[in-house]
Amino acid sequence: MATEVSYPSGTRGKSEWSLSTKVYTTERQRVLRQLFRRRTAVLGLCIIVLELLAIVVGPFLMPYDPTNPSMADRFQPPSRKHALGTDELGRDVLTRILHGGRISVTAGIFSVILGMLVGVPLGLAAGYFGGRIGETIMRFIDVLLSFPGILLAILIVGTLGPSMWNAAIAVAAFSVPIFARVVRGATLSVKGNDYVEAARCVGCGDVRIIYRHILPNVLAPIVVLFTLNIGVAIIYASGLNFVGLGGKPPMPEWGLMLSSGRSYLRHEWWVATFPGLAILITVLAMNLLGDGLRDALDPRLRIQRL
Amino acid sequence: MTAYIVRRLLVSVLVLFASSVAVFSMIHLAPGDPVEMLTFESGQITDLDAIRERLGLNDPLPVQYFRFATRALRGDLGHSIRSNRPVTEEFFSRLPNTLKLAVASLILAIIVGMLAGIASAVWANSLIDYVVMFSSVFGISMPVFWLGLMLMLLFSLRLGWLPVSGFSTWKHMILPTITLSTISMASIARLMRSSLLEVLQEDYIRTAKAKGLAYWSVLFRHALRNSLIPVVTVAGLQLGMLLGGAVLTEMVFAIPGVGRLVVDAILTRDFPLVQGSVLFLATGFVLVNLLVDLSYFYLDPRIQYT
Repeated sequence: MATEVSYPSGTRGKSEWSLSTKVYTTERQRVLRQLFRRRTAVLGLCIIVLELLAIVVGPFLMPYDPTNPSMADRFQPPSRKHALGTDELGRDVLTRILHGGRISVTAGIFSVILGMLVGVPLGLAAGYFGGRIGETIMRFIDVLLSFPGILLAILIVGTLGPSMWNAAIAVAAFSVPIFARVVRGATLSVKGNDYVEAARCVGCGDVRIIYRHILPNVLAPIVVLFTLNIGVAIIYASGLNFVGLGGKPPMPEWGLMLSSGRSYLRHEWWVATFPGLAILITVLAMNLLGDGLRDALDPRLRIQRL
Repeated sequence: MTAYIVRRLLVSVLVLFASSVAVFSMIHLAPGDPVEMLTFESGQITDLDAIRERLGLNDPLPVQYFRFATRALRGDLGHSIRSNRPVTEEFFSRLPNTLKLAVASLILAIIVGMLAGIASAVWANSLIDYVVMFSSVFGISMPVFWLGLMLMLLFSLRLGWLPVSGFSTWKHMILPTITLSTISMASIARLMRSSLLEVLQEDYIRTAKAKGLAYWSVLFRHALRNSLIPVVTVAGLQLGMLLGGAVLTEMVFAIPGVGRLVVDAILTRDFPLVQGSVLFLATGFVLVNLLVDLSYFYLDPRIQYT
């Protein structure tokens, strides 16, 4: 039995003594226990799992086609045959929402991964090297932040041409500065630790120190930002699709479904209502999980949502 | 203090210069030719090269940028290719609508958000707290464009209380303002709550209570002031977000504002109009951020400017 040592939270793979229960736990177990203690986070997680299941399996179970028009079934209100009704071309709204979920959720995840792949290295470099490199990077980030996010996204889509993937790339552009800023802050506080100094003393290079010693210790904010930003990305990507800066109509993307459904709002309210509800539920679940993760990983962590 | 302001102004000018270069190159590198689009739409067959020559689009990009920048410094941002009206005129004829919408939304968001956040922190873990936190999670997860449509469906189409679209009387402003303010309201409420809860645990609050001050006096005189700093930061950033989010709201409610102007200008490749409008918007955003930073000085005299 080791002596009672408590490691700072966020130290990967280390273990700690829990005084109350005398159970030997790893950091990962502690975080998971904290997470599952929060009912709202568990609720978010359940919704996400159910939804992923629905959009992966659901389209195979539905007897309807998401894009083929069937004019005889135009504007059927929600019924037993069409749970969420049919749209202006007689297509089943539920089928389209399930197919659209694949597109919208993939686009959201893709765009945050892209933003993370650019933002995290920038933040690590800015925090670790400091000096002129750090200054230059942060000025670049300031320029990115000097545009209102959606305007930047619109400009990028304008440059690349409207398509679903370009909308996702554009949305990635405004998660870059958020990742960079938070990771830089975390890196600055980790950099001063003794183990970084020790690694340098035994001759580790900068890249190895960043990858092996800094990155694992700034993972917590990255995980939280990742979860929270997927929700934001889904909203903005479908928003771009909504204003016409995204995919083209037969595609069952949620934002597109909303924009074609808005013309029939007065009488056929279900066409526009349900795709939006799908966006709201997805983003809500992501935010509930993200908040829970933040509280569980590090209560002191103050990540500002923008 | 003066030195700090001067330096911040210099950085702001640099940021604006960098963003103007970025916007300029992005919009010019984009595929699509404004002249072709113009003649294609009007159906006239004219000498395209002559028009390009007249507009100076055949010159090398740095030459074009230099021309744009020197004119911009003299307050001349050129003419819109489509309407042939001065960019400044186009922009400022639309600006009041967007500003009215953004400012009204910000005021609503600050008032309701702060009151809800304060109530939530004062009566932490009570029913009020749960209701506020629950609704604010919904608020930050809300797709703005869908909320707009739903409000329109309920209050304009079903109940007939408010006009559907347009922007002439105060009645037209109610729904767009509520729509646009929701996300900001929710994030301000969340931030106000956590910030106030944190300040309430400080030693000087205990001192103030211990010397017998009334609870409300402690709350409003001592705690609130110090908990305002993060809230002001975010409120400032929110104004930029609101200007951006106005794009979607303007689309939903058919409001002739700056957001629609920029989206239309990008879609029709109206270069001067895009450059000019984005430059104006970025300037506004940078100025607001500067004002926010300076306001810390009045809120928290401990902050030193170096």
